Amino acid sequence: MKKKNIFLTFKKILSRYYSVFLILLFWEMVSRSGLINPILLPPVSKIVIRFFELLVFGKLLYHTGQSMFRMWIGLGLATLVGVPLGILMARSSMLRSFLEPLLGLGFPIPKIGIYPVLIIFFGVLHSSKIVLIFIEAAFPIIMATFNGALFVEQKMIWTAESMGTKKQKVLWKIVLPLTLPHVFMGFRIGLIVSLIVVFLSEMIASAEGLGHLMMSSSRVFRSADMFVAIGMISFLGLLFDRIFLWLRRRALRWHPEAISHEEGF
Amino acid sequence: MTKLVVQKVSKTYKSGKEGKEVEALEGVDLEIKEGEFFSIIGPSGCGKSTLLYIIGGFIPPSNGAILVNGKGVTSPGIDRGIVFQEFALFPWKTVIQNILYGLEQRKMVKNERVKIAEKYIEMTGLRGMENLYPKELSGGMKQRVAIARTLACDPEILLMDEPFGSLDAQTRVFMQDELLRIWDETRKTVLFVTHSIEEAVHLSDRVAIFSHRPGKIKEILLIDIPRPRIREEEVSRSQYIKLINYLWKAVEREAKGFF
Amino acid sequence: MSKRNRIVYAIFSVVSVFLLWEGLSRTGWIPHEVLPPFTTSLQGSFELMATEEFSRHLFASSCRWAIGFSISLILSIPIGIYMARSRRVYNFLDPILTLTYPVPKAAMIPILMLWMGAGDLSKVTVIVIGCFIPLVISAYHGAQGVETSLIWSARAMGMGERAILFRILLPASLPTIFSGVRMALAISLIVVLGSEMIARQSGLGYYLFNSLEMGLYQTTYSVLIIISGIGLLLDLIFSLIMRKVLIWS
Repeated sequence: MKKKNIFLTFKKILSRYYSVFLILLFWEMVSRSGLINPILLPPVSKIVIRFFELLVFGKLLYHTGQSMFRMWIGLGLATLVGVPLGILMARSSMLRSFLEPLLGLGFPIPKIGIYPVLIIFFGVLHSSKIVLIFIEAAFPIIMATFNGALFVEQKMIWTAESMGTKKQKVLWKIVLPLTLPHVFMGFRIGLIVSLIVVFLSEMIASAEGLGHLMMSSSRVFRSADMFVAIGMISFLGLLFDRIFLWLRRRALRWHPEAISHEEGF
Repeated sequence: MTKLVVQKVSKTYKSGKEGKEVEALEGVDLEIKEGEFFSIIGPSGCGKSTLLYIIGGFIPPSNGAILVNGKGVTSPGIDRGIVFQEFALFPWKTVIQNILYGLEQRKMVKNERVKIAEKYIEMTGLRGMENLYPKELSGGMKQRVAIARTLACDPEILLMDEPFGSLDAQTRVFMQDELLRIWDETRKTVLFVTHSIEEAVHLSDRVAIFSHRPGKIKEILLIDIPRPRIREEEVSRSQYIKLINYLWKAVEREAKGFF
Repeated sequence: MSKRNRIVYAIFSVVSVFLLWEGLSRTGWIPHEVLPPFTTSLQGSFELMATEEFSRHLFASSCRWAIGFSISLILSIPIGIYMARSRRVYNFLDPILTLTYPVPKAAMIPILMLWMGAGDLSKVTVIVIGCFIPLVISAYHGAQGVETSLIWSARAMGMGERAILFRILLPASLPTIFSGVRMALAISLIVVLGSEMIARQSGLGYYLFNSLEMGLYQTTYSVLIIISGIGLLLDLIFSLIMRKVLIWS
């Protein structure tokens, strides 16, 4: 029985991702044949081997840890600050009129440009990157939360008030749960953005982390290691996205337009 | 015993880009007795819902006062429960969690709360659906939850804003009788706003006719059909037919008067 | 809130931020070397733009960006639309896109530099790759969202497939495509700057980072102001174009 199930799932994965497997196969063949310099394009098999070597003997886990540490603190802070801020902005027209233009103007500015300034202030260690991640992730989170909280049905709030809920408590008891779907949407973008930013900032200036691993490998032409670094960050991105979708499915069970299946898009 | 007094309430608000002043209500006076089922009918946009929201304390009147049990009220409170046409159920909470919401504001042991909630679940015919989410309920069921939730807070007055307006015709008729049955058990004071004349006559002790905008009470009619009101028997009563005709003409007059 | 009020509030917020910057610096709360006053930095920005050296770098960045962005537009949007029209193409590309989606396109920069050298080609390629996914996705969704009833009635009226594509599908999907383009615009700027900060050869990103490394902090802030200004300007231009084209929306 078990054997049949495994075979079926294998078949399913194969049929869905057949284009990917084709490309990987093509890659391996092209690389091994010598058509393309194996330094430029190391065979997939070599990359996999190198992955395990770096994992056990190299400092892959250490670098991954550094990157993840920075990313999650930045993202976490962005959420902790961004969600309440977005909600408050939606309910207080004063705050809104002050912050909304700033957010709108800050959005098209390539915030990576602030990175050198942050280095001036915080040096090249963790803080500059964490702050950059915070800034980059906060924007989508605040904006999504704000947009969601803006359109909370007035009658829900009135109902809660008529049942004895005080005005301040209404924000957390009513507005927040109703805004949750939007918060999730913003967080997802924040997740993607923070992944990109941590990697990028580490590539530009860092002594540790996956981005740094990427750069240091490129300088000595260890291309397989470079691919390991990319593979690692991509895998993490995929993993976090899946976990996120699972969490969202559970937290938003009650939502009428529940997005039921996993989506890459 | 007078439960609710509305004293010369008027409401003007600015609307639109030019800030035009709209007079929604003009000097409304009303007195509702305890345990009375009181309906308000009138043409669309005449301000009857606005009056309800002012009584509920959600919007302030421009002039006048609202008194409940003799005391003035200016903000929402647990003494005035409200049921909306759109149900306004908390979608992230289950049926029983919705009903427990109001109870959680009050100091009591958890067991007590659950017991009270279950009492109202039983009363509104929701047994078996306690753990469903609003998205899994039909319109009629949602409205029952809304009613149960509001009753569980034990308000002095029940304000209902066209509660059956978004239900289909059959469910609506059914829910009217359900409401009467539930009301009979609790005999709360009810202020009921509706478009439907038949609904108002079937349910109420008294019916007020609202004029077109700016709204005020044109006339109050006594519905002297004895309770319990059984539909099949009621509709053939001459009294019923007279009232319906009279009210139709009155509302028609008001609606036409606006144009 | 009227439009006029909104503009007033916006000006107020922005000005207060600049005032804060100026105040923090001038009062000495944050030392001059670390945070030169806003006015000084702004002045420096204008002075920089007049220099030949800076203009050279600005031009280099602009060219890369323009070429890269245009290519990605020309490439990605048709692919996205095609994906919406052909189930087979969708099935082929979807898993690839889903898997490459979490790859930070910035990560491709060193590899592309390995293959193509640290010159313009690698940077243009990164821009194309970086903008590819958001553009394809929005083009796909835009084309997808066009009501089938619209297309069917066009067919019933005897419209050829080509005409349907250009006169119905494209215009109807434009709003979604435009919002995707706006996002791709922001991404492309980050990618250009980022790749220049990594490659450290030429361009605004290089100039910015170089000033940091040489301790010329004043210049750093001035360049930052210029970069921000460019970002805002491009977004503004784009919004205006969008409004003109989508006037029927």
